[in-house]
Amino acid sequence: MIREYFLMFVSFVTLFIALFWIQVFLFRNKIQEINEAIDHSVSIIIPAYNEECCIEETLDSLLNLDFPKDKLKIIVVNDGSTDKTQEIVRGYQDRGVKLLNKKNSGKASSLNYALKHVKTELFGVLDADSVADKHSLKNMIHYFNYKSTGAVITLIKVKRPGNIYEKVQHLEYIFSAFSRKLMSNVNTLFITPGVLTVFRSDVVKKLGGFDEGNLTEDLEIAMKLRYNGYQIIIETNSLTYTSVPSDFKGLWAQRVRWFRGYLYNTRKYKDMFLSKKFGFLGLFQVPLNFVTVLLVILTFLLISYEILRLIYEFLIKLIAYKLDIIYSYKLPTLKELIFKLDLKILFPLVISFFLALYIYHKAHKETKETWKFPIAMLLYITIYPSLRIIHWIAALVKEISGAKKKW
Amino acid sequence: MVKVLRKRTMLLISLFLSIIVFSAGFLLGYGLDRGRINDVMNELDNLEFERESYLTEQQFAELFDGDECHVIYIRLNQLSGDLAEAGKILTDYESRGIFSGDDYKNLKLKYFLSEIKFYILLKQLNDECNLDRSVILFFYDQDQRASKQQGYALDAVVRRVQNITVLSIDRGLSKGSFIDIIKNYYNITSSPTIIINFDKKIIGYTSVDGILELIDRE
Repeated sequence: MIREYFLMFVSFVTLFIALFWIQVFLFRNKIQEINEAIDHSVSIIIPAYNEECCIEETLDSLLNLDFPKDKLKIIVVNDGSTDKTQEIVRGYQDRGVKLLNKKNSGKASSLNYALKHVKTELFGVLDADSVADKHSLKNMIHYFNYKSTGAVITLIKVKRPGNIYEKVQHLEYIFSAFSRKLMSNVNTLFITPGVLTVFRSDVVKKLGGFDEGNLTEDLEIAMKLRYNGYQIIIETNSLTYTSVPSDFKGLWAQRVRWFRGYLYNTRKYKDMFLSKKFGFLGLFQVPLNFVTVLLVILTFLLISYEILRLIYEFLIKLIAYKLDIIYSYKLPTLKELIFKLDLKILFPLVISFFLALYIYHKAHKETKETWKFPIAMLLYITIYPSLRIIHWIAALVKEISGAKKKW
Repeated sequence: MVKVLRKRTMLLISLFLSIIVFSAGFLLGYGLDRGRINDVMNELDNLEFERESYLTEQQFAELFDGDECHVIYIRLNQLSGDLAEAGKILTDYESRGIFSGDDYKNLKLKYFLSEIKFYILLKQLNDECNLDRSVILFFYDQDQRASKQQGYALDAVVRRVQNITVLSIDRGLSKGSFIDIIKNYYNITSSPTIIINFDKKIIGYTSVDGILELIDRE
């Protein structure tokens, strides 16, 4: 009975959330395009550790930006690379790229090191394996005309998705970009990814820069900004492309690190939880994220238990029937199938499923993508959610047990 | 950006629509539940009709032929199979029922009544006509693993032996009902317990081979 009530609750929450975000999408205010002259100067920091594979493409994309050259500075922090990263960047120094060398100490430390050299009003962070679209930076800057804007993020897509892992993540990034847009619409966005986020320099410096001991310094700085009353906005006309893990091991390491970072930072900024001071973010978004993670893990555990129970019962039947599998399975009739349905749980789930399809369709439309990679799509809907939950459980176990933090 | 007031309105609308969808789900579920109950009632009515037909045929044979035993095997297999099928449907539907706990309890009592009537009939046939059929009375507890396992084992036995009838009775449902009489007669205190051919009582789980051996010995 408890199992049934729990499933009903999950089904209700799923439906409620889906309906809310659809309304946010349908009734969003259209943001007017502002064609103001660019009067902000920006420094883009690229922290790099052994990035010989991709840093050229990253730097080329920045040098090709449609942005006044006198207002753009590019800083590469070579974080003790042992490959040809330093040599490659040196080749760009005559085109205005500044190279800073330091001992290897991690991304956050590299960003703080570079921040000391930043003299511009704004600064951006771009991972060395990511590229920025020609117009991306230009589209973001006007938001800083508002004093409350702490950071502006871009719409991130997967760079040249090749294998099945990358294709599944391509779909995930589309959905993620769309959900960030919706969160931005209700001012609850609290993430500043390393794939070109532009920050207000004096604000980040005033807040103490990036947390060097943090597994997800990009989430931490975002929460710090929100905690101190600054807004984060997504500009969906600013496109960036990033490399994603291309195998199981890489994906596992990245996601467990991300989710551990989420758990750690949620605890660090627990004051935001259900706090009126942080408005809708504190009263709705932060608790919602927490509850969603909790419910998703519990549902996964419940479903796993049910599957194991069914397998156990099937095996017991097989043993009882002396392994005569023909005896143990009988095809149900249509009447039996209909009467087996539990509509009080199934009906809201079916409605939620169609709403999810609608959101999925709109996510593609809003990110100017078409429905492609059918196999990846199938995996994204069926197997990938379970994999994500396993990532969550692994992160939770590691965080609780205090396992060593590895980048 | 969306204003605070509109966010609240949106939350309320979401809550309202969610409640509507859930209510619709409950209503549909309730409708389906009525369908299930009617289905079981039809099954039980059919069983009663078959039993009555059987008794009528038996009476007719007794009065006009002077031998009631020869009609035994005509309907017995069918009655036994239908009874098992109705039991399976009832158990299956009960787990999916909403707001119908009492309805299902009554249906189960009605079903067990049919089973006991059939059991009495079989006993009568056994005594008077030397019944060539094994009869197993199975007392179980709902949601008990051992009972479930015993159910599977009996299911397997039914598939292996042709002339056999298994009648299952929920031990927990007996309080204050006609089931008490039969339970007290056999002194059933735990489950699973099986009674083979009216007098051999076995307490606890018995494997398929164990049951087959006992049937052979009888």
